[in-house]
Amino acid sequence: MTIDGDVLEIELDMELDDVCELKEFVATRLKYIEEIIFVGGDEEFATSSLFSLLFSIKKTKPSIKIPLIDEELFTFKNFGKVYWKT
Amino acid sequence: MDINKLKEIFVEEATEIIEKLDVDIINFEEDPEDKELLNELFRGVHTLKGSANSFGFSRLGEFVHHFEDALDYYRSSDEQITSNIIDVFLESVDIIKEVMEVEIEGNPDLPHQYNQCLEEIKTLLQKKDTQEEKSSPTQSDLDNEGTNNTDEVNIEHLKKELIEDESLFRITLNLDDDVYFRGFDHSKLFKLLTKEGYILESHWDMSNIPDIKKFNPETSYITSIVIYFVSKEDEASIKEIFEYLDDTEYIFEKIYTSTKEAPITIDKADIKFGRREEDKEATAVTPKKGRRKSDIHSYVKIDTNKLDELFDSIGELVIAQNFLAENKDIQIMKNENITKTINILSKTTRLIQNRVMSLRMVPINDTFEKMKRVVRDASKKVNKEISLVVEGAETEIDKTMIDSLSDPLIHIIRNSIDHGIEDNTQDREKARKSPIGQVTLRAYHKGGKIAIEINDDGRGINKDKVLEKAKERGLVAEGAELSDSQIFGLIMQPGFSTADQISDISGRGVGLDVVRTSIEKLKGKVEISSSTGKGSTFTILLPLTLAIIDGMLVKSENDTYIIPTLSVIESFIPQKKIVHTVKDKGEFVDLRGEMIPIVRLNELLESSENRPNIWESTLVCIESENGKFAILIDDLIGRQQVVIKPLGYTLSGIKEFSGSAVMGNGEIALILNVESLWGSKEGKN
Amino acid sequence: MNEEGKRELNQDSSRFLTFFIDDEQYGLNISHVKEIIASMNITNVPKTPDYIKGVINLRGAVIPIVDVRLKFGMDERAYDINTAIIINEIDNVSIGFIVDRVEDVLSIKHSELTEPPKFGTNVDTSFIESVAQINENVVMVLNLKKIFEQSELVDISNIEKSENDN
Repeated sequence: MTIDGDVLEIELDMELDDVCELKEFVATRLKYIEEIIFVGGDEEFATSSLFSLLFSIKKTKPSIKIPLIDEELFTFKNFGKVYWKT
Repeated sequence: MDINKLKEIFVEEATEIIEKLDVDIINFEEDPEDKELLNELFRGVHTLKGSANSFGFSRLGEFVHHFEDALDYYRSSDEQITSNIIDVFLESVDIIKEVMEVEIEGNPDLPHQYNQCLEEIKTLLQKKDTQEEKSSPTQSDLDNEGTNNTDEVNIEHLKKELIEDESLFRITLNLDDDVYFRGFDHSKLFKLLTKEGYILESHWDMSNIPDIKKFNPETSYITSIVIYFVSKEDEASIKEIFEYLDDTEYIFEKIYTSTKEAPITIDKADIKFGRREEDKEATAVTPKKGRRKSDIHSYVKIDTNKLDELFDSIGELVIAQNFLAENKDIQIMKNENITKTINILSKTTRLIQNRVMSLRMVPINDTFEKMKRVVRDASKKVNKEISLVVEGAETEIDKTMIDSLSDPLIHIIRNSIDHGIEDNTQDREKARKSPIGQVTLRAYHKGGKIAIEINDDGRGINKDKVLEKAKERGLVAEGAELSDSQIFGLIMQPGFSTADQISDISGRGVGLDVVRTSIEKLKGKVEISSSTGKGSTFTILLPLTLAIIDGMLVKSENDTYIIPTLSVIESFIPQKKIVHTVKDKGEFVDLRGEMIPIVRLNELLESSENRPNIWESTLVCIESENGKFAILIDDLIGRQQVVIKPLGYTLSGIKEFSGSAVMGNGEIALILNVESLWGSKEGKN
Repeated sequence: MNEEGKRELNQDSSRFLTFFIDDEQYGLNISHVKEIIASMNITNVPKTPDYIKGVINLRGAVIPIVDVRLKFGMDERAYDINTAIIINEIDNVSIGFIVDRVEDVLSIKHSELTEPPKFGTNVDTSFIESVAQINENVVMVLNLKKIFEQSELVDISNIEKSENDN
């Protein structure tokens, strides 16, 4: 997890503990973050909690850009297509 | 970019599309339920039409236009596509190929069958017009695919992804909000599922997620996830995955099983063809990989010349790195950091070298796919029912070899169907074989080489007949003793054809010798084995790549030469008692009872007139098309993978050498062309 | 010099890389010279004429090497520090020439080039395209194409024959 200017870079394979940490990190700095992107290769997601958090962030700050969930359709390397319903 | 460059790109792309049409049509015939294939065909043709017209290739455009109409009709109707229609499709592709050629050449003539084929296509369409009014599908139908979320339509769409024996399951997860606390996670289910099959889609309901102030990462807010999952496993074993869940937390339904389709109903007189029951295993080995939507990769096209240049540069890098590693001044320094760095450098260089090598490798699948058409055509022509089994299609082979491999394969396959498989089913039944002839294409790695086998379960090669014919044609001297493999090898001699009557398929004046020559050009060889009544196997052995060979380094008169290890049987220093000189015939070594002629390399290459005692020199025993022989050299240096370089235009006329190789130390050694070393001594010209 | 001046110069003169064999100075049109390298290890190729010394590996390319002395019918001479290999290229075919010593690049006006004399040198004059008198020296300009042609060991009939062999 790194922050580059106003872009937060995170990994898809973070564990629940990391998600807790991320939540704490983001909650206090949400003002400064404009975009959340994923870095790294083709890891699989380790917890669905991460996606919940992303949607929670989006709900709190609709202007934030999160490419992974902004698209209605997203394709995982090993898990096929993902459709988000909000 | 100038118009010629654009044209070049068009031609390349069009050729690719056209080749794929063939393959898609054949695959469609095997699996007529797969409408997605028809869609793909349609898209290919559609693209072709667009670019043909933009280049003013009006004849191509016109033809493709009608072909597109026909495809468009069938992809949106439920009408059975019969074998006859498939024939028209295939014929159309042939015409497209021909029109393409005349267009490129600027030739004003139309291909022979152009109008006739066009009429056939139009007839197909007229039939449909008289049937009923059909809703004309539009491009938007295509565009809507996949994004349509209406469940039923979606399932219909997903069904198309399935192949034989696979079932589509719908799993609805309504996990309680304490799942994480229980040490469980949706991700675990996803991972477990992918062990049993693959996930096509998942639909996540994220509508109940609170804002960040109320958000607790350890609570699940995901209302539900609907997963569309494909597997060959039975329901019970998949259900095991959910054993940690409460019954209320999931719904597991099987919604569809892809049933095995019977071959297309066709007239009895027609030859059936395609994958059958016994091919199941082969199918399982190679699922329709390339077409999975979830396999999203991006590709870059690279000119192979650029790869070669890259490879050359890396060769130089290896040499420079070797130079550093062996540099005395550096070694004297005994500096641990430098040694470490040089080791890293050496590892990295080799890594890069391997990676670049692997860029040249492509699966043989595409070539094998093309052979389906060949089998279909050939089986129809000689009226024999043939089933083609393909194995190991994922085996990778040097890109530069792929192109030169098609023709030999086509030739052998036609030969197998024409001469190998029995002429009628009664003969097969008498021999207790299935009435359907089987041809197997198999690719695999064999000791640092690629082996491609073409096997038929036909009558086998009749050794006596071959030998008789060879003697008749003066290919073998009367009374010559030949081993089985030598006899089988005769059928690849120029001017040899075993068929009593030259048929249209394989015996067009040129025989299997063409196969041999083209495989030898690839630095490979062909082995034939056969057993009477049971069938024959042609095995093409190829080096892993054309850029590197495994070579045996030998010394003769202070020069280093390379003998391709592929041809070497063994090397040894003979005992005096097994060496014989036969008057007027030359020198021989008695190797376990076999008299093998000796070729003195220095004399053959005219590099000196020294005649060392044979029992004090090293002999390298070679297997060549002309039989075994032993090369006499001064010394064996070792075995090495070497990078092959052509000897260049200036020196390519020296038939004793097939090329040169840059060795690890950057120096060049010449590669001996074993086929000409012995032939030239025999003076067979 | 302005652009126009340059073009004029290019039109009525050419640049030549000159080198020495014994005391004679020769020139090669620079447009065909790819590079000059110090003499290096040459791999002998059997069944070739003496003047083909073998092949070298030049950054991955295999290039045949002709010893110009032998080609011109002179005696072989041990290589020394001045010995150089000039890599020439015509129609994508490269050949290296071993020469005693490389000299300057000279601009020679076309008007200064004359027909080669039929006498007065120890060399087979068929390789000499023209000669030029530069100050005290005579520079003999070599006909590269001719040397290339004669260095080709393959003639068409040979290729055809070996193809029939297969």
